Amino acid sequence: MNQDPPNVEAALHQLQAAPLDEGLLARLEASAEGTWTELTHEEMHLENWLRQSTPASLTPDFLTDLESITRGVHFPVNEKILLFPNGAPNAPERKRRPLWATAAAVAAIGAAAALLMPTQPLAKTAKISPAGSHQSSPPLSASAAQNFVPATYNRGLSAVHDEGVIWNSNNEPQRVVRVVYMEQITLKDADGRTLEVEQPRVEYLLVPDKTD
Amino acid sequence: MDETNSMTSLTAVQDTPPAASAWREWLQEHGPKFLLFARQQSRCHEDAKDLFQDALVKLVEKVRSGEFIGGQDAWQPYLYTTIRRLAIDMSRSMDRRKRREDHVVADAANVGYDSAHPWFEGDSSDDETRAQLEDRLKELSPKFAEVIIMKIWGDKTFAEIGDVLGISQNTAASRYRYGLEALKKSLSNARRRGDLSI
Repeated sequence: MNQDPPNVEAALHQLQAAPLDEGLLARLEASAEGTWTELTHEEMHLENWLRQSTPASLTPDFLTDLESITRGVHFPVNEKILLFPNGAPNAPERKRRPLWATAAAVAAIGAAAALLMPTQPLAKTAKISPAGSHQSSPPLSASAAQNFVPATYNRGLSAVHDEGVIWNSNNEPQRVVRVVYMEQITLKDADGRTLEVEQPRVEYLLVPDKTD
Repeated sequence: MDETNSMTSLTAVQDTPPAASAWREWLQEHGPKFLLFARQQSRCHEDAKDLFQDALVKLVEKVRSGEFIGGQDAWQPYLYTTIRRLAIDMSRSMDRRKRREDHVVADAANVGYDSAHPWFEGDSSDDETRAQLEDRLKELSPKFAEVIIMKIWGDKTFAEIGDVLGISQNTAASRYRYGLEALKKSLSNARRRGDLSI
């Protein structure tokens, strides 16, 4: 050997690492920028062409073999999905809930307004109780009940029914909502006696609806 | 007013008995892509079926025992990972893996297009394309082909593929591009030779 180690080292030092080719340079740059995983139009075109070929289906025998493996194992349902029993409201009805809420709110306002402006004798089902007592008493006459003033009011919304859609004269769809109440009104007189009135009431409301 | 009537009660549905039909539906929907992946990972159709079946057994055992963490979304990466791991074990045990990697092209040529168990669906007019595509995929280096199969027919993202293979999403993207380019060249050559009319 006529080359001593120092000369070899010097020779190696003179060698230069090969420069990066354009392809690798572009790849590194795209990786650094986070765009390397984005496909080009041409790549997507080829990908779509390949996707037209779909994997072969499982043969019935093999599918049966696989299914036998799962026998006795509960198929878990996504935890985020709640199942409802039969007869429960379905999705389209849930969509209308805001309309119903609107209808109920409108009805409540109407009921409250009616309470504040009584123009008719109180209902026949009024019951009177001594002060501090909630025991039922015989019904009062309408004239005796006029000495009582309202103390509490409960609109007692008991049911809301969707009765379908009608079209008004302007050719606009309106949903008919039937709202059923069992109103409860407590009245008090100067002696502290209370009068509880229950009165069923039904209202039909028209709510503007949307159509496709 | 009867308060009980005004309250909406939400009652959870009782656990149903083993829902074989639900499993069947799931297998019909997702099974083909796992079998395709298993085909790419193994040397023959029977090995692929064994791999898929063994992987499913492992998944079902975990689901049955409650050990499986995650919902159905996690089943697919689990199956891909398990099929791949089982394929490697199978190859090692049969001392095939090294031969396969050393002689990918030769193997592909020998195996050829298995008309009895095609990898892809297709009507008669697509048989030629289907056969060519299957052969070209077999010719590809396995590490490229597995990414292509998971991406195109498994609808996995590069990040998901990276998780399955234990590589970064950029590496998965690189392998995909290499593989796609090689596949394109290979298919173009086939078209030039008149083997494929695309």
